[in-house]
Parts: sequence; C-alpha cells; structure tokens
Amino acid sequence: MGASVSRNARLLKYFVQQYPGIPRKRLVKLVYMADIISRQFLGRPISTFEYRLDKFGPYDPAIEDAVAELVAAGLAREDVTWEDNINWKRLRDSGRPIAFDFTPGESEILAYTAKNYLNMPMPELLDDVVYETSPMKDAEVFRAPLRMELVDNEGRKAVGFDLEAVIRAERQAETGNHATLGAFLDGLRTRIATRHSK
Amino acid sequence: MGYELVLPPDTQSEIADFILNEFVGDVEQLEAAQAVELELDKLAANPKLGTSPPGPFENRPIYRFTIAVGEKRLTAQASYKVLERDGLIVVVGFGRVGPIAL
Repeated sequence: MGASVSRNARLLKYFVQQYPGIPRKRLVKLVYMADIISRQFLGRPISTFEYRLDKFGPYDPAIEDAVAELVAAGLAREDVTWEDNINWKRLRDSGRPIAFDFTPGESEILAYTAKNYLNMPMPELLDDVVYETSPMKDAEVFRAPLRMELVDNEGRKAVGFDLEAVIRAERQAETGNHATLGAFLDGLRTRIATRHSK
Repeated sequence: MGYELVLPPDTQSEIADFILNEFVGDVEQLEAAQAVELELDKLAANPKLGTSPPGPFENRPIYRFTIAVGEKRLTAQASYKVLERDGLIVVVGFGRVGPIAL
C-alpha cells in the first residue's frame, strides 16, 4: 500500500488488476466507457482525460502518462510485443494493491463497466458500444476533441433517480436501518392527523 | 409468496415529501398515503412489476404508477432491490415523475 498516483492512474489500475495483460486498446475503451456512463448517471466523468477522435476511436495521449505513472510506481508492468503485424501493448498488474477512493456511485459504474465490457469481443465493443456513443457519433474531424458533455445526465434524467442517493439508501438498509411500509405509513398518518391538535 | 417491503430513512423522507408536498390538506394527504400503500403492496406481491433500464439501474428495477386523489393524478416511481434470501424488497428511491406542480 502507500503508492500515491493520480486519479487517472488509479482508474487504469482498477481495470488492469481485473484483466491480466490487458491490451492498451481495450483499456482505453473501458476507461472511455466508464467516463461516458459516469457522465450519464452522475453528470461528471471519473477521469480527467480529454478524449479526441483518434485512429482507433476515442483517445487522449495523457493515457500514456497515466500508464507510465503506474509503471514507475511499481503498480503495473507494460509488455510490448509485435504479433501479426500489430504492436501489442499489454499492461499487467504487479499485484501491489492501492487504495481506491472512488465514490459509491463511481464504484458501481466501474463494476458495471467491467462486468459488461471487460471480456466483450473487441469488434462488438467497438461497433455496438463505443462507436454508438453520442460523442463518437457526433465526431467528424480527426483528432478533434469529443463533445463528451453530450451525454451529461442523460441516464439520470431517463431513470429519474440519483445513483449516489439510491446507493446511500441501500447502505442504510444493509445496516438494518429501515422500517416496514406499514409502520412508516402508520406513523405518517398519525403525523398528518395530529398536526392540527398540537 | 409475497415479500416484506421495507424503507430506509432516505426513502421514508422521499415518500413523506411526495405525500405532504404534492397533496394539500389532511384528507388529500391521507388518501395519497392510502394510494401509495396500495401501489407498494402490489409491488410486494409481485416484484416483477418494475422494469430494469440498462446501466447501473439494471439491478434496481423501477416501478411506475399513477396516484389518483380526487381530480389530481400524479405519476410516481419507486426503484427497488429484491433481497430473495431475506424475503425483502427494499425501496431505495421514490419520487414523482414529470414536472413539478405549480
């Protein structure tokens, strides 16, 4: 414990430790999707990456810095190999743990992203997921910034609930802090019926 | 088999706010409480009433319903988790759907 790295590097580490030898292209797509979903449901990204339209989809050169940070801190190792005319950059977890400081809502989004996209075949992840996001569909100019704000709060508006608030309520219930519907409504009815007599 | 429906404090506040702020006077509010109870009892009897949207709410179905009190008809919704092992439905969010009444 104790390695202090940036939030962007911690975000990469989250996915690296779940996918041994994660290829760079997949890692970037996972981080991008986590930021998209976070913007949709929390109204803000998890990372500070500024995505642009690049050769293989959304990308920010600052991702290289975050990878270098992880490697320098001994939290991951990068293997570069040349296979089938492709330069593969794979990031492997060192096994050294770090403390994550994501909010409950962010943690939920990261878990959702990992569950759905970590092992999805790459063509499907690209064509059916990443390239179908609004900022990618909107993008026209190579290396121009993606308009990530297009998706801000669209999930929250669609469901009508705040994810962080819902998780807070869940945590209350998990500790046994809850009332039955009947007991709560009985109390509320008493409150309504007696308020004028006070 | 039905489930027992429980409410954490934050959800209790949301339901109380809905009933006390959207309905006026003792009679309306007591009727609204009755209507909310009826709808949530339906959910306790059948947890499959809600729909699961894609995304982080896929494990937190949302049940939408109409509360009719007198001339007033409001759409409300509850997000919930089903705890099969405990036989519980935990309502983790409650609120009105649509514009705020002026």
